[in-house]
Amino acid sequence: MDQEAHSERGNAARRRGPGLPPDIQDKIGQQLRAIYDEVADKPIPDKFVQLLKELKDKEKG
Amino acid sequence: MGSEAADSLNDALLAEIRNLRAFATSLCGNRDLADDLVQETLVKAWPKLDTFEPGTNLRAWLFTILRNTYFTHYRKRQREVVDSGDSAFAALSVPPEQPGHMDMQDFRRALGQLSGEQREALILVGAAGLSYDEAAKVCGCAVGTVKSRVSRARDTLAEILDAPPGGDAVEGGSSGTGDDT
Repeated sequence: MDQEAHSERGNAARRRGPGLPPDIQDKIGQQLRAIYDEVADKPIPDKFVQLLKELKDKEKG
Repeated sequence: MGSEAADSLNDALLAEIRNLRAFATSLCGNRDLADDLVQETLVKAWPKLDTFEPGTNLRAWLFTILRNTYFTHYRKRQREVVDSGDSAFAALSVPPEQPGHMDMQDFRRALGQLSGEQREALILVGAAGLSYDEAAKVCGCAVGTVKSRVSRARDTLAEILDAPPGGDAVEGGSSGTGDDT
């Protein structure tokens, strides 16, 4: 039992640290960007374009 | 500022709105609130544009304003509306019309299990394209802190994704680890 628990900790330790395999790092990066881009790739709502225009116009007076 | 400079900054701001929305959504987990946050960020940023140092990262500058706005006003308000807990990515869930994204759903769940600080650092560096330096400025902490948050976030994600709870994907039981003994 002890040995089994020990070996599980060992596996966890191997997955940790700076030694994350590059393919896992890549996969994490890809999925992270996919989630982020799901919002970022949406068209910009008109209200923001309008807002910037108003801010600019206000400044010009 | 001259009107030509104002125009080009205006264009630059416009170009960053997509990133502001994505970062805001990752912070508050609610798209409507995220858009309110972006709007307030733009209103605050505009009169301060002359304090922006050309040549530095406009995205990081805007993210800093957005993040401060979120932590000083929105988080309290949000707690009153919904108890978002650690599900800051709930609003980013895959819409039902997109089946077959099991991997992605697992990933979202795993991301939701990270601490807010770790998730934020990982998103800034891993998705928003900021350098560690820039991310540290946005979060108001040391570069080393960001580095360790990102690295711990990656480790935790790898661990969660590698070992799904319940472990029903593993066959052969306890001896199937491939360990030399």
